[in-house]
Amino acid sequence: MAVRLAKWIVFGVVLGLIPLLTNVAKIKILRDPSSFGYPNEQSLTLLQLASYKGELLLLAAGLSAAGVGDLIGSRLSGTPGIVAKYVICGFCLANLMAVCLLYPFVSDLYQRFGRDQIATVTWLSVGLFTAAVLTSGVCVMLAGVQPVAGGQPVAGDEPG
Amino acid sequence: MSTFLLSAILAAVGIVSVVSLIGAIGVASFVLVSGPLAYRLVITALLCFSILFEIAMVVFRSLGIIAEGSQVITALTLAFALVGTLVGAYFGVKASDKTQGAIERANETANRALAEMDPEAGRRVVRDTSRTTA
Repeated sequence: MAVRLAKWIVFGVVLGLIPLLTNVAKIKILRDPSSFGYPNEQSLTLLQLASYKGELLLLAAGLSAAGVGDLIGSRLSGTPGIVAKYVICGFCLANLMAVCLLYPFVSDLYQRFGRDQIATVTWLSVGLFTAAVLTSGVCVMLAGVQPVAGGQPVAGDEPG
Repeated sequence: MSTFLLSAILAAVGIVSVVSLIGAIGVASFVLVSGPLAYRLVITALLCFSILFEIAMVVFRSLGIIAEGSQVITALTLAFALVGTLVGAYFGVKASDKTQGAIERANETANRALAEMDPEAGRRVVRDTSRTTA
């Protein structure tokens, strides 16, 4: 379970954040503002730069969807913690719906944002991203819980 | 787009994110912590409550709702009361389980002792016991 989770964190979360970090680095180091964005991007913090256009929301949506897919793709019936699996699947879907609700407004209005709106969107994006990481992490963890042939279920990695 | 609708969407999204976050932590702790059900429930409740409290304090502080020390102390008092209630309930359940187990073991020992005794002596013990407890 730990190996599966570590693989998911490295290849699913950390590598997924690299494009955002590259963009932030481009703006901060090269002092090269985006074509369509907040007029004074240099004054924004790193977190605000990474999230005020809704990129973090897209990443959160991807993580949530992957988590649900991983859990549904695994065998549900006959495994332990079936209630926990359904509950976490529900939380993951709720998170996905919240992201879907917020993203259209952020992507539409970000050019007209003031400092307060940027701060609000940043906090909401960070909250949704954290929730997506946690819910889909638990999904990935629970997807690794498989029954064995003897009938006694175990928590472990899938073969391969 | 009316400001009210946008505010409602932002509030709904915030609530969903907090609930998902706490739910994920709750499910993870419930699955990962090993032990009796009551123990797992209490650990999960304490963890979820602590995180909810932290988030609420940060949000209220940033919104300017909590500005004075007395309000922080009130919130902390409520938090400690809830933690105390949870821990007290857990130890209450545990003590009750222990007592129940001790009673069952004592009953079993007494029954086995009665079975080993002379039938007449056993009947006399049962008769005397029922007379004293009546």
